[in-house]
Amino acid sequence: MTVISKKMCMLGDFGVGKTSLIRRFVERQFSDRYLSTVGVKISRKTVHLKDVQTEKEQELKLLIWDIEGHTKFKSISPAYLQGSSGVLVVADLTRQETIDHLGDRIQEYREINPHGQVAIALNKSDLLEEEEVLEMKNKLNLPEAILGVYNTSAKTGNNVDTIFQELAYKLWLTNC
Amino acid sequence: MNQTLRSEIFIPSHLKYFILDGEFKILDYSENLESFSEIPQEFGLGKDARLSFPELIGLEKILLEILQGKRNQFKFQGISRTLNNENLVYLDLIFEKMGSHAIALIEDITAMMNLNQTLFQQVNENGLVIAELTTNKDYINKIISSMGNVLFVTTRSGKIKTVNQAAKQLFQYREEELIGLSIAEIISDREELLAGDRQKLLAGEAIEEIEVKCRTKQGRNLIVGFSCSVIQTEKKIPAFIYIGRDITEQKRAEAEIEKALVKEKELNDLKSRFISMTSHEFRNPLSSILMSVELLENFGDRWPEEKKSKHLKRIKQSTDTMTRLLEDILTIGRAEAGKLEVKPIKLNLEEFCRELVEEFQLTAGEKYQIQLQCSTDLDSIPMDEKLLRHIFSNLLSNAIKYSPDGGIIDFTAMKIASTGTNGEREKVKFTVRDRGIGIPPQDRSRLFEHFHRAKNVQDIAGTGLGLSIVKKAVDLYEGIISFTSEIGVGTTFHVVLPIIGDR
Repeated sequence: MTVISKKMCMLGDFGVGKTSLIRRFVERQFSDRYLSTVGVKISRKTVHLKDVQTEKEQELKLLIWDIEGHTKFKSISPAYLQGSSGVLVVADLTRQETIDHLGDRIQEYREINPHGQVAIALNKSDLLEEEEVLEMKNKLNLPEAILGVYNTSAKTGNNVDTIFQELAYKLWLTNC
Repeated sequence: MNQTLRSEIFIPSHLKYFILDGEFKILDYSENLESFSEIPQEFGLGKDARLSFPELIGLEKILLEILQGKRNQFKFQGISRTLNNENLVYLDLIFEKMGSHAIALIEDITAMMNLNQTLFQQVNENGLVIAELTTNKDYINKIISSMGNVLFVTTRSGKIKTVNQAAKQLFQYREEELIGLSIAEIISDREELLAGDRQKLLAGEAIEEIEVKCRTKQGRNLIVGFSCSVIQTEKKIPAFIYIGRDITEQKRAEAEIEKALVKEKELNDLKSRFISMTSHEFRNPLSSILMSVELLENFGDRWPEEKKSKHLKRIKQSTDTMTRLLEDILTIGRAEAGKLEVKPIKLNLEEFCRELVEEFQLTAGEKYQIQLQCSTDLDSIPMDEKLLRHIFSNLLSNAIKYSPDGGIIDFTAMKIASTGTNGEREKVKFTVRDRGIGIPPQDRSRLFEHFHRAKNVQDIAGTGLGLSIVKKAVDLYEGIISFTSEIGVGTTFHVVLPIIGDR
C-alpha cells in the first residue's frame, strides 16, 4: 500500500495548546509547562484510514506543521501555509479572545488554501464544566464549510485523536 | 560536487545548499548537508528531496512557478530541526531559480531564533498570566457586584477599601465617595463593632449577623445585619470584611407584629376585665331582686301592704339600675367597636341645652337649681345631638347625684375661637359646675376608667360607666374634657367641642 503524505497546519493564538495537541497525538505525552514555539516545527504521524462504504484502506502520513502562535506583536509568515491540505485552528476555551480570533485565523488560511479542510479545536476543555463548554460552542459564530468543532483537551486526550483522525480522513477522501 | 551546476551562482560560505530538478530530484548539494535533513539516510544524489526534507511536501506548485520564472524566491523561515536527537537548530530555507534548476539555500539561524524564543517565551508567559488574572478578577468582580448583600472591606482603622454595587445602592453613595471613608460614617450605633469588635476579629473570632443602625448619605436610618471577619492580605496586613443585609423592613414588620400582639393582649385583658366587672355590677341588683322575690313568695300573704310595696319598689329600682347599666354597657360597647360616629346636623344648641336642663330639673326636684347660661350665637350650630346627650346628661346627672344636699348647678355653653395647627377653628365650650362632694385627688387620674368610682361616693347609686361614656364621646368628637374639683366644695367639668361642620 502506498503511503500518502499530506501537509496540515496548526493555527491559533499563542498559548492555546497547538504544540501540546500535537505532542499528545504524536508522542502520547503532555506537559503543563508552557514552552513558546518560534518558527515552525514539523511532526509526522502515519494514520490508518478506512472507508466504511468502499472498504478501502489507506495509510496516510500527516505532516503536521506546528506554527508559532499569533501574538499582538507578530503575525505568522503566510509561506508556512503553502501547500497545506488542511488546518486545525485552535482556541483556548478559557481565553475568550482566542475564540474571538478563530474567524481571522480561518480567513488567513483560506486566503492561501481556498479549498483546504478546516477543523476547529476548542482546547483546554478539562478546565471547564461540560455544560459550560457546550454553551460556548453554541455561541460560536463561524463560517460554514468547517469540518467540525471539537472540544479537546491535550491534558486528558479528550477528542485529540478524533480530531486528527477526522481531518486526515477528510484529506484522504477529498484529496486536497 | 557538480561544478557545472554550482558555478552559475555565487554562494556565501555560511550557507548550505542543494540543487533540485522539477521533480525534487537532488542534483547537487553542499558538503555535510545531509546532517540538516530530517531523515539523513534518505538524502543523496538522485533521491527525492521530499523524503529527507519533509517541508518540501506540498511545494510542488511553488517549485514549478520558480522553475518557470513566475516566482523569484520562496522562503521558509525558522524551521526547527533536532539534529542527532539532541541539538535543536533553526533553519531558513530559500528557493531560487538557478539556470534550468532550482537551488535551495539553507541558513542556520539557531542563535537568532533562540533569542527570539527567550523573548517570546517571556512575553507570552506574561500575556498568559495577565489573561488569567484578568479573567479571575473579572469573575470575582462579577460575583461581588451581583451579590445582593452589602460588602465593605476596610483597613484596621476602619477606612473603606472595597465596596460592591449593593453597598453603593443601599447607602446611596458613589464608589469614589465610599473609598477612603470611615465605616463609622455608615454604622452609627455600634462603637464596639468599629473598635472593640475589631480586636475580637483579630483574635480570630467571627461576628455573625449583628444588628446595627446605619445611615445613608442622605441621613436615612437603616437597620443592617452585619457579619464580619478578618483576612490577612499577602502583605500580612489584616483586612476587615463586612457583609451586611438590609433588615430595616423586616424589623419594621416585626415591630408592627409585636405592637399588634400587645394591642390584642390589651384588648383581651380589657374584655376580660370588662366582663368580670359587668358581672359583678349585675350581681348586686339581681341579688336584691331575688331576695325580695323570695321574701314576697314566703311571707307575702302575711305581710302588710306597706311592707310588700317596699319590696316591690326595691325590685323596680334594681331593674332600673340594671337597665341603665345595660344601656351604658351597650353605649360603651358601640363606642369601642367603633360604631359610634359623629354625625353633625344643624342644631339650636341653646334650645337643646334648655330642654336638657328642664328635663333634669324636673327629676331633680326643688332642692336643686340648674342655671343655664348660653351665648347668643348658638341657634344654628352643626352638632351631633346624640353624642351631646351622652355627654351632658351624664355630667348633669352626676352633678345632681353627687350634690346630695342640693344646691345650684351651673351649665354654660358658649362659642369660642381657638387657633390650632389647622388655623382658626370655631368651638363650643361647655361647663357643668356643681357644689357637691368633689372628687378626691387619688381618684382623679382614674376618673374616666370603666367602673371606677371615687372613694367618697358612699351609698350614692351609680354604674361607674357614665364618665367613661362622656370621655368616649368627647374623644370621638376630637374634643377636650377637663375638670377642677375640691372636696366638699364642688366639681367643674369643662368640655370643648369643635364645630365639625366648619371643617
